[in-house]
Amino acid sequence: MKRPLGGAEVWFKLVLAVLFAGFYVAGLGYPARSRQFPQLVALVSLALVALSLLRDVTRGALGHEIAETGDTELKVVDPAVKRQRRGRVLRAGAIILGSTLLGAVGGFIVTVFVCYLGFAWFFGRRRAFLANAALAAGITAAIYLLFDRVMSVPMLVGAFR
Amino acid sequence: MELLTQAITFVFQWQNLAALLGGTLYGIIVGVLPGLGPSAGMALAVPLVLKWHPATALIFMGSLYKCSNYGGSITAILVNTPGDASNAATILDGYPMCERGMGGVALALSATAAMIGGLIGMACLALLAPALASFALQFGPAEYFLTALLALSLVAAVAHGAVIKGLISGGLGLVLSTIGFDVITGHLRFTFGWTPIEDGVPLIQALVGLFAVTQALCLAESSGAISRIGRLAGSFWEGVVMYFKYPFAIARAAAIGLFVGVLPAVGQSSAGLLAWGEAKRESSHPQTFGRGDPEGVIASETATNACMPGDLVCTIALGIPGSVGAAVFLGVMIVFGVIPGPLVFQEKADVIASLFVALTLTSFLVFVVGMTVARHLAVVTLLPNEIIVPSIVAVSLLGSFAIRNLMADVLISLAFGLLGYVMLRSGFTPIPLLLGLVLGEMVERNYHRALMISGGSYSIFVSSAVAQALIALIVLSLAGPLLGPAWKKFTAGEK
Repeated sequence: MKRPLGGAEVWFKLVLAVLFAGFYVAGLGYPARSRQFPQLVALVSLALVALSLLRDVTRGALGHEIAETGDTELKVVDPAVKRQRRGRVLRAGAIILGSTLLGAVGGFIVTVFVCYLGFAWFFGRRRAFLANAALAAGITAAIYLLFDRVMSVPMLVGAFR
Repeated sequence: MELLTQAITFVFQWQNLAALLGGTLYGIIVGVLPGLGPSAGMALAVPLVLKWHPATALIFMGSLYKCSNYGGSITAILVNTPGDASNAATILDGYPMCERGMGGVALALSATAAMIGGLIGMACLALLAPALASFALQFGPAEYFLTALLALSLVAAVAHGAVIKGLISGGLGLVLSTIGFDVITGHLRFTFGWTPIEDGVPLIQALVGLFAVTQALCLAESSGAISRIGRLAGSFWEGVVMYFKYPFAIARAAAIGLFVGVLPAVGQSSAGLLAWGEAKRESSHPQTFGRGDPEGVIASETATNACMPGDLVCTIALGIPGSVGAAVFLGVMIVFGVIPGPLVFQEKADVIASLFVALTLTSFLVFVVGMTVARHLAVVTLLPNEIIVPSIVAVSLLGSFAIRNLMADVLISLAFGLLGYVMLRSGFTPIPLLLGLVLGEMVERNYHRALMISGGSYSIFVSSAVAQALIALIVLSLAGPLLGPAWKKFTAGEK
């Protein structure tokens, strides 16, 4: 089935094209032998991206890709479901990023605890939050014992190194 | 024969059996934790074994190295996150089997493949080691370059069927692999002053991001559990019986694994993917691959486990490791005075023989552990996503952090996680990218070496029979997905 061109696939290919072009241009400042391989790969990859975009435009290959790529955004899904999925992913991403940044300050143990707590609050049942929080504390303690005490990974040391 | 008897007697001493068991269990645990892998696991264990007898220490490390692959296959199957690059192929069919509630069967296939693939690898090694080593020596820089390209083209062509997207993904991996110090000139490239990537994009951290973080984001999209049918279908023993129904697939995968294993510096990551691609190509129902076909798991896991003995031979006999884990093992050998090279099989024959006997026993031990413990792990697929997702994130990012104790590594993993998620949602698969990252340095190094040998002439890439055969295979692998439907149309028209 043919669809108007657009969406994540095309934007991603355009970003890739810029990235490959960027690698090629950035390599110009290096010695000849150092830049030869990355520029060759970047050029070939850029050509492939251009070919892929051309196929999408001229042959309506988007319908063909839907059948091949499995569960991706290219599948025709209900817009409401799509919005809900995006919302959940954004929330998950925010929890992961936030807990990581907190861990940078307070140590990785903070990351582990905040991550569990965040998912328990935003994705779990609110009524079971206390139970989930207790579970989060227990798992954090177990991870601390395994990684910090046994494997000597510094989980209480914070700030960027 | 006397050497073998002595080796068996030595291995069955209680301290060596304990080292064998300890290495097996520790290796599986290390393999299960995404981001740790055999290299980090061995590095963490070195202080523990420093005061041991060299043979005992190598038995522990060898078991650890061997079993970490099986541990990695557990997470590859259950949560779509390979424990190491060598398990990347297993997720193609292992995880879809889990989604269908057949996680127990998939784990059984993996455990049985670990035993059978390992035994085949060790048996062939014992019989064919001299011939295999001399075959490997025929490979020059041009042949290594083409072998790596073959691995990339096979993966690009068979993973999800979109050839051009697969090649683009592989190209992205190759380009990213050029970040850091140039392997030939030592010039610093594309770092823009950021120190954590001066040694290149850290592979384990990228793997953690591309698979663990990406998978966490995908699971977060919906509530529920990994198993979409809400229950476990199929038992462990069903998987064991199912494994032996594919004798040709097993033999083919083992042969591919051995071939890749004896090639210095190629590594287990290529073995699994090459075997998976070949199994799909030869199958009468290729459309089921990538959707939970047991043959896919059988091919990838058998090849990876058969590859390891050959990988060890090249590491021990030639001093050229085929993977990061083998490189760490090489370092451990040197620490204990077992200097790799052609003479090691004479000067340290007793140590090497004990190691090989121990690794053969490990093959059985892995199956026993899989049968008793690992199969119960399949219940993980029934846990709700709000528990699984933070578990994956916490443990895998911790694995990233644990390697260099740098928060920058965690940020690298997060960046690759975002990249992997966007790739999946754009119809790209991240597996060729990972392979490009893994093989990039080897591809570039051999590309430049080949040109240096030939004085800049590209004819070196087509001069030998081996090189010509490899080029033919590359063309076939890329043209196959395009020609296949056309051929079927042609023959259907004839009928």
